[in-house]
Amino acid sequence: MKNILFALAAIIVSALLNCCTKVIDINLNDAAPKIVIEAELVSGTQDFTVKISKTSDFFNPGQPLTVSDAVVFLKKGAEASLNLTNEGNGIYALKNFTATQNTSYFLSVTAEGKTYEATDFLPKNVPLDSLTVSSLENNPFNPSGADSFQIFVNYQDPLADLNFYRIKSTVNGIPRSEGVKLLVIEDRYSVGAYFRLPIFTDSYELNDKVDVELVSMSHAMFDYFTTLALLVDGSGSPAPTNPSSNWSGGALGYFGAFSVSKRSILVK
Amino acid sequence: MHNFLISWRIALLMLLFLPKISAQNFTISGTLKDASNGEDLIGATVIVKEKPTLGTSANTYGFYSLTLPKGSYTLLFRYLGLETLERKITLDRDLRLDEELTTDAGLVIAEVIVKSDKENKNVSKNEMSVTKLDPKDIENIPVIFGEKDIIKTLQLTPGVKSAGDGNAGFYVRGGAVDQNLILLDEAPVYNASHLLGFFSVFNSDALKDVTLYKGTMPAEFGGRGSSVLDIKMKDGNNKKFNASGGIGVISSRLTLEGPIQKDEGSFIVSARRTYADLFVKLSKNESVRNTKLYFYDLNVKANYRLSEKDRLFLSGYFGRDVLGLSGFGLDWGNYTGTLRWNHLFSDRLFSNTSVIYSNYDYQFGIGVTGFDFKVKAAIDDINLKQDFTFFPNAQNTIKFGVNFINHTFQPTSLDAGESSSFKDSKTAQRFAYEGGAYAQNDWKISDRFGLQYGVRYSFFDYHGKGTAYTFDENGLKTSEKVYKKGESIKFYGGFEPRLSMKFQIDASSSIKGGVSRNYQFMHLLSNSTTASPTDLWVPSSNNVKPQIVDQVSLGYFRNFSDNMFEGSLETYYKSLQNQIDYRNGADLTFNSEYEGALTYGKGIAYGVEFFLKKKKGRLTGWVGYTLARSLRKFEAINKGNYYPAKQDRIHDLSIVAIYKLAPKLTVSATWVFNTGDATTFPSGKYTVAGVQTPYYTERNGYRFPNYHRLDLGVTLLGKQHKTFESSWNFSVFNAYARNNAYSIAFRENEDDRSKTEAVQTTLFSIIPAVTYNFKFK
Repeated sequence: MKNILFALAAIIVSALLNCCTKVIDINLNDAAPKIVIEAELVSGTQDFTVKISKTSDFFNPGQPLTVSDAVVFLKKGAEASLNLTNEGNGIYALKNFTATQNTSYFLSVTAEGKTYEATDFLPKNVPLDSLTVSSLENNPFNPSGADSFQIFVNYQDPLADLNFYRIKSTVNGIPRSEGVKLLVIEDRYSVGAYFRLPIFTDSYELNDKVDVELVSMSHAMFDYFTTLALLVDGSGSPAPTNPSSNWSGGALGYFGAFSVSKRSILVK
Repeated sequence: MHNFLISWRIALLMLLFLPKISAQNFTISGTLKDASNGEDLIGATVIVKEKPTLGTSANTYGFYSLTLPKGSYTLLFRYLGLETLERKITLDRDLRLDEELTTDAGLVIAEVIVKSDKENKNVSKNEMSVTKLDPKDIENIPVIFGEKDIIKTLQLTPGVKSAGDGNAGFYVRGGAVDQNLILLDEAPVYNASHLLGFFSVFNSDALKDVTLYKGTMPAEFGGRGSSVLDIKMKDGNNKKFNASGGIGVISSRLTLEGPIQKDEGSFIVSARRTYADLFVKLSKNESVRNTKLYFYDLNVKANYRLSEKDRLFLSGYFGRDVLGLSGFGLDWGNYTGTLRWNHLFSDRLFSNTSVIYSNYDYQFGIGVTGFDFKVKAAIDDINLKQDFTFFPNAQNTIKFGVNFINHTFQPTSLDAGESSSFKDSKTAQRFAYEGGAYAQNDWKISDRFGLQYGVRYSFFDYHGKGTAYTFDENGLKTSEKVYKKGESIKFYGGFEPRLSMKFQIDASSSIKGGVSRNYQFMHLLSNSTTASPTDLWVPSSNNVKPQIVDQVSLGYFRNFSDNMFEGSLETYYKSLQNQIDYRNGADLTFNSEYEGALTYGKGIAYGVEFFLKKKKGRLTGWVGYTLARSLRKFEAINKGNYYPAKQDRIHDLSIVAIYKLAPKLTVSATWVFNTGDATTFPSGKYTVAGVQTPYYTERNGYRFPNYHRLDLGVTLLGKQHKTFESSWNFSVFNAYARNNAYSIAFRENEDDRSKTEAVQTTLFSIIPAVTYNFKFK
């Protein structure tokens, strides 16, 4: 009798959960390649680079297409514009550039006869106070096992204004999940709170050396990364669209100005 | 409010312009009941045998009234499945005639799926685009897990489409899921799905009558754009006590009913609960053991006749779903209650007064240290309703009335736990009044012409206490204003004409047409691809305009072979205004300024519906086919071009066949086919922020694979005893194990990470089920 009950339960549970998955063939339309401009400006002094490429076939991308004959310049506030040098392979750079907090930046790209422009605001840095480790039990996001650990990011959210963050981590120097799990946070419901945030998109193992970056960003970048996360986290949006880019002229990608605070921890 | 008064005056004028009634006319009135259980016979017909064009039909409470010149008549009382009753009367004064119709011994009810009291009613009635189901007649149609379900059965009729496997939502004539008004004993049910949509909340054992209006709906209904699903609960047996129930694979049901006082009042209590979680308790794994997974339903109803002229009804529905995994919980449910008072002001003026309560709420929580919170949302309605039915003469039936609803919306709000980094986020409640006044006349002009015409005035007042926001074209907040309690923030109102007409070609064929307008003031916002309990009902406001749906329809109705076959061909065209969609990356959760995330557009829907049903014989069933489109147009989406709505299904075919092999053995099969849902797939990809990102070019430019499925069923009746009967029901859902797409996702190919592959998930493969049903009487 008990066996029958178990068999019934098994039928029910398997029926209620996903029954089966399989790889299928889908014919997708061939779209004309579209320009993609990615530019990250980080506070402090370092090289500022801009990558310009094009979209490729969805199933079989082949070699990435790059745009190598563009003219790119950056403007800091109302200062004079600075031209980026063409490094080849779609990379454009400004060596040893000093980006300052609380400043607006403007980037212009002219390629194949079209001009694309974007503005972003580099916000004030929010210091990452500390990292703490706790063992993972009863975590619905990670029911895999008891031997994994969770890292908490602790920081004081400023009382003034809305703040937007992205948390990035690397384990033993390798970016986690190749960035697939984007963790972006806003403080709309917790302005001025002391945050103790688990990196709930990930779990860690004993003796992992984890480097964590708390990236402060503008509202526009928060929108970009939230909409990007919707596309790539695999959950599937009801009406997927391209992320909300701050580029004019319909280019994909983003121009983001960030301030970053870093900490490391050894899981033990 | 001004318009409101105007519509009342129109209603009164309609009464004044009625044909004068001479002093030589008398009225015969009464109630019609089923002799076996005392249930009111909704829609039973009364016909004058000597002049068959004269007649009337009983209203929702079984009341009829017929005014005729002085004379002698033979009246025929008819209801399908019951023996026609003949009464000779001499009408020289007003008469009261309450009748009970007995079961026709020669007729087995189960053979007939869609009921009609007059065999050619579909041809001869003024209304069109109406689907009626008798819950006791759907027993033989196979459904998933063997749970008979009226909503799943309705989806087998033309113009009504399932929202997909694992989804109790449905689309009517290209409209969205939220454009269906679902009423259970007049109370709106805001979420009709159980267990994340595998079942509907309606327990067939407790239901008496199910009517779906998908075209021009009677003026008494308003508030939704596409359809009204009007469900009436049983009143309970007022002759004798009986108990019935069923034991199924995943749930069991029990219904008790009986008289409060014989022939004067009765009660019914019907309960259903799933027990998948009871098996889970047997597991050795602790986390599996702690899983909660069940739902329950409780329907209760009582009625009592206070006097010859007064009857009181009290009905309620309570249902809840509970889902819990370790550290995560989700539960939701509806509560409704209806108190009704029938009163006869005269033998020709019937009144019903209702006080209706409806509540839907959901909550989910996560209990992880540092990350614990609870999210809640609710909607709460109190509705006062006054309806009159006036029977001036044998050609006209007039309905008029008013209603007033007080809505309280609790948008998603967040309770943070003690260790949480979150702060509480109590989103302010929102308030609105909704109301309407209507008048309608059903007029049999001649043997050939019939007209049902009416008008409804609907209004919505979004009011304080609250804060109203304004947004610029990018969805960014530009201003906010605080309103006092009761202060109107935004008022909407408008007239909704409703017109259906019939031209009868001959006894077995007719042409019908309809025109209507419907306003919809409440909208369901969903963040997911399928209907989810966490979808949010929101009111129209200073930003969200009411949806307006205009529909014209035309149909040809024809019965064949002495009404053995019933056929129809209907076409419709709908224009939808103020449709709602989301801006890119919209976040609707815990967002008191969610209106900034919305964008507005319009839509069109049109189609042809073909229906052929065999009503008699050993083989019964139907074929339904719909050819239809449903398109949307938004400035901010798809470069402002028309694109297919998700429910744009083009071809939709259902075949239902029920065959009586032996007196106690019935086999059945249903087969459905439809074009895959419109969906958005990428047309390219690129790498950004270290992430492989899909590149989209158009909204809903692709299709899921076509959907088709065969379900089989066998019903075996047990030996009939005087006090006990039973049956076994075996069913196989998806008999040839078709892998229909529930979702299609993309992932990196494991062997070559530069390549991407499409992965299709199927929810249900082949599922056998068995149910044992019993009845003590």
